[in-house]
Amino acid sequence: MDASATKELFIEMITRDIALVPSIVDLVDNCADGARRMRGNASYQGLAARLDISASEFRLSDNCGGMSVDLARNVAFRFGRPPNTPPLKHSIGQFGVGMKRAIFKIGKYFRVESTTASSRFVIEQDVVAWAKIPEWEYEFRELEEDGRFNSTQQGTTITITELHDGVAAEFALQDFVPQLKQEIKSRLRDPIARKLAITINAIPVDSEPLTLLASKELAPAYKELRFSATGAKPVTVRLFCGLGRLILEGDKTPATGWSAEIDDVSLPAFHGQYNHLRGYAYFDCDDPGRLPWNTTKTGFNMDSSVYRAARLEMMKMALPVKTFLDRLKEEKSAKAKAGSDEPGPLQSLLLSARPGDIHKIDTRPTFDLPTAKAKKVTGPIMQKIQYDEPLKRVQEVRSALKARSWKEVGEKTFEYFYKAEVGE
Amino acid sequence: MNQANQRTTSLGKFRYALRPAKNIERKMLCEAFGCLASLAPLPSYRYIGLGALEFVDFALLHQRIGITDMLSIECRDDAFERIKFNIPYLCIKMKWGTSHEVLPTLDWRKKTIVWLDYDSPLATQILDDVRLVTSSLVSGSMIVITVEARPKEVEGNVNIAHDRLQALIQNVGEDRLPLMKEGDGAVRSLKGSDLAEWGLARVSRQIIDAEIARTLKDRNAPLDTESRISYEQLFNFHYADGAKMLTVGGIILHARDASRIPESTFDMLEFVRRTDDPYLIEAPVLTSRELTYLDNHITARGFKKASWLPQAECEKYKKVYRYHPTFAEVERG
Repeated sequence: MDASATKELFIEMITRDIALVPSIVDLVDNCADGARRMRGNASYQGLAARLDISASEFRLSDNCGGMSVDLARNVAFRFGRPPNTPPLKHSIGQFGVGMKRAIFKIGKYFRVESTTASSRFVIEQDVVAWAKIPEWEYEFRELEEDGRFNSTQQGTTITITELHDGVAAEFALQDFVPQLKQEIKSRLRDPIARKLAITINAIPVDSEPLTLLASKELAPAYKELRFSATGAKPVTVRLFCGLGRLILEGDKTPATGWSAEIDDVSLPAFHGQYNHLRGYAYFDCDDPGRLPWNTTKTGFNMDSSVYRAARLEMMKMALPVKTFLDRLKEEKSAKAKAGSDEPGPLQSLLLSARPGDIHKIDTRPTFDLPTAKAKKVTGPIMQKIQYDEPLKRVQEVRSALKARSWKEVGEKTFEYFYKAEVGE
Repeated sequence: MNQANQRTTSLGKFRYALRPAKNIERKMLCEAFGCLASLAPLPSYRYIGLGALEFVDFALLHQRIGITDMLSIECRDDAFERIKFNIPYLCIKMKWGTSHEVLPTLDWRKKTIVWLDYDSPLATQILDDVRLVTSSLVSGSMIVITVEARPKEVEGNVNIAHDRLQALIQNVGEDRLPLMKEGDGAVRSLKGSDLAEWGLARVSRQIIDAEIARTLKDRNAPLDTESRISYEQLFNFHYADGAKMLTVGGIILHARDASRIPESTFDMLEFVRRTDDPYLIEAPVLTSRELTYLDNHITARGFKKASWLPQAECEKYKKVYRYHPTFAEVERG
């Protein structure tokens, strides 16, 4: 068998369905997985992932516990994951393919060095040469299995050189780092919020905590769901929904429950008035296979059973927020009709609420509609009239009417005509 | 939100209590609700309805099955004082807003009987309510939906079939149109001519049924077989006190609870309908004296023969006499 052709085809296949930036995010996500294994849901203070990117070299190093020799041998450097591998706790990196895929995507020569409390290994490989040999396994360049390493030594460093031409050109672009930073920020919000220090070329990737507007009257909704099934690890889903400040890279695709194109709509297609609506969903499970991500972890697997059930809840939680925004819109247009600039009661509530970190603010099971309902404009519906007339003529009318203001001129002339021609 | 889409109650349109078919339907439903006693004590249930002005359903359920936790959703806050004045029992609480606004804000942990008694035709917003309620109800609860199912009048319009189909599409969206089965089992798409007579009611039932099924599919997706929730249709009423109306509904059940309430509990009630085949409620046109006469001649097998009475009306009465209202004029003190 021609190993070279098969392997080249294989490399081509696994790298084709992922873009460069997400593949790097995948690598950084491995660091976050390491942090999760070390610290669980506690703070990651002191842990770091450092990216150094130039047109000639890619390097990612972390101090997140390292990769055991077993893990390297059986999982990370094998293709696909053997079915009997125990799932990595709290990890979304289930496919065992992420690291190799990213490496192949970026360049033709790599070195992976990893140290745990008891082991250390180095794998170094020329990808082009590897493609020519029939074996699929990699050889350890250095291996130490019964050592003792202190915590400052523990961690993983991936170095990739002989970058593909396209990749080197990308890395050289001015806006590559900002783009990567943005992507890491939005995909790894949670680890960053837990103080995992990620830097790109020494620039820290800081993620603002996710916020929702909160006040006594406007408390966001929070719901925790647990999907258990026999023989499977339970999936915990935490949902937040409320109001947010305008802006943001809000996702308005069918995956979030917006849109009228898909068949299971429950929210109206996205309208401007709903710009304030915000919802956040966290999925957590000891078995990453039960999480609803697609294989590149850049989006949802919309067929996932957990996802479908969670989305139903998300739509339910969003409805009262939507009602609030509908009423707010009504209030605003009523105010506008009455020619008033003053904010109405709902608008005032919105303005007085402050954004707060969703993990710290008070929440309720449902977003309560504030009882301060938009007061209906009492009396008949009003209509404003405006017109221009030559100043001289208007002044004549004003003095004839003995009116004290231009407004009065308008009112009195209308009144005069109405009495004479329309009213009884 | 489009005001025209919002549910409005029939305030002032009818005297609710006087519509005989509606009256009969209400009592039939109440009798079926009574069967829930084998799952949980009836007073432990909550009732949610759209009370309108007369709260007839509320009064009936309170009197007959002892429910005290009652909630009426009312969007007509312009008639706030009047509606409040008409609340018959203190235990009835009010929530002001459309069903669409209020339903998502409720706590659904209690066994509940919900009757979404709309008087408008089926529309997207009603289906949203159905979805919300179906995704929220706990096992042992009942959901009942009433919608108007009056096909647009012909009035010499030769394109009536087309117009009726368009009206339905406008209300529920084209993607919700059900497929129709021919007599030979072949399947075809819905045509305007399917909506004549009780056709719109049949199609409306199918659409509601599909919405419930789809919601439960999502809700059940991550659950084990034994924790899944199912919906069993029990009601499929057609009636017309004026406009043609459809009432469809049933019970939401866990596999665990299903064994505690044998199917026969409901099937003993002759009006229970688990399929597409409706139960038509028809109030007989008979005089008070005739009704009294018939009541006095009921035997185990039916009525003793009264050949001078129109047989068709007698047959109608036989089906509903236990639920038939008696109207009389009284001196008001």
